[in-house]
Amino acid sequence: MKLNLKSEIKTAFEPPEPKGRASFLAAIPYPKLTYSKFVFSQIGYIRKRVWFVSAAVVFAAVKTVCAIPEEAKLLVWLIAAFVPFLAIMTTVEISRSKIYGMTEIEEGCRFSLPQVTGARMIILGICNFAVMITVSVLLGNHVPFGVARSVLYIFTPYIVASGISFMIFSKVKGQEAAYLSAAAALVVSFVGVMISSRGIYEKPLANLYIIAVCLGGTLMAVAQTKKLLFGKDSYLWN
Amino acid sequence: MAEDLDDIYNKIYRYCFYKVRNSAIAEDITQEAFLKYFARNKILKRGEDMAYLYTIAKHLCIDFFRKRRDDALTGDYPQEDFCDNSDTKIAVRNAMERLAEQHKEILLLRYLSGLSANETAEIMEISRFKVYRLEKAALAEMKKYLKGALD
Repeated sequence: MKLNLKSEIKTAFEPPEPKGRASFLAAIPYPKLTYSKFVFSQIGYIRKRVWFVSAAVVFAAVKTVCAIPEEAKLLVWLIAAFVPFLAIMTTVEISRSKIYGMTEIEEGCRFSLPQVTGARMIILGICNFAVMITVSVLLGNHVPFGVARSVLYIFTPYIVASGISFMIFSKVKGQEAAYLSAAAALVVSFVGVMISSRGIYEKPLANLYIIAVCLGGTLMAVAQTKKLLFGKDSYLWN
Repeated sequence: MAEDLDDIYNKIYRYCFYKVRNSAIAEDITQEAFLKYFARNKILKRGEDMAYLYTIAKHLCIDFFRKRRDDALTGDYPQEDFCDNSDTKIAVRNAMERLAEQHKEILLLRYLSGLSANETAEIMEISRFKVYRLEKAALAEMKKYLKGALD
């Protein structure tokens, strides 16, 4: 009879189920990291340049409102043209494991890769949303089209660029994904500049089209996020 | 990386149960080992920390038998059996019982507890090469005993 001795030894000494394990481990003073603490711990791993760029956008808006409020409209278009790059920086930051081929290691850790990605998405998403809302409110009071439309004009290129870059990162591996995302951001930014420079925003029904694009971008970003966090691909190695 | 406490608890409990053959006593010793460990350390990692926890459990098991031997009044205690009592498992257990004490300990730590050679070496206070040598000898001896029992 042929035996796999190592596995037989492992299974031959199975003791009766311990009765007090759950209550003992619940009472033991062991540092149990909660999910909220884990999310906060991820702030330290986000590179300083991301915070610096966000702070620079807010600073530009504050400076314009204080020094040259009549140029607020121009700054709305400039920031709308810039936010796709902010979106790409965020995506690159979230997908660092993929770029540097660290996916396998991170999936084997205490918190899995989708959890790390989710935590970073929460942090950067809140930060970027706060930046865009602050900038829109600051500038929106000094432009003829108001705060709501400023939010729309700044948020739309951001969400579209995010959706496209998430899609790129889910399909392309390594450094190429970052380059392709940068190219996509450039295209989104260029289209935004073209639209604003030709005054298309002021045409009737233009806002409806922008809302439709914004909704489309949001749907794409949500679908890609879902795939990234809960999809089967995110748990597969290689 | 911090280990899953549930998993470590099960391993230490299995190790203690093998030594004392009583689930309540094994669990008491496991919990005492954990408390002693956490009185000095904050977290539990693989490697040295794990070896330290096993060493505490091992010494607690030795203390348990020493107390029983010294105190004749405590008398015998009820011994329990392992869960699986198929012929093969019984044969494996009988073969294990026939091994030398050091060989038994090696197989217990390496296969029952799934410890690395380094961790086993630290617990048994021997070199890593000696762990490999003893493991090989213990497996050969086991095979020899099992050959007769299962043929």
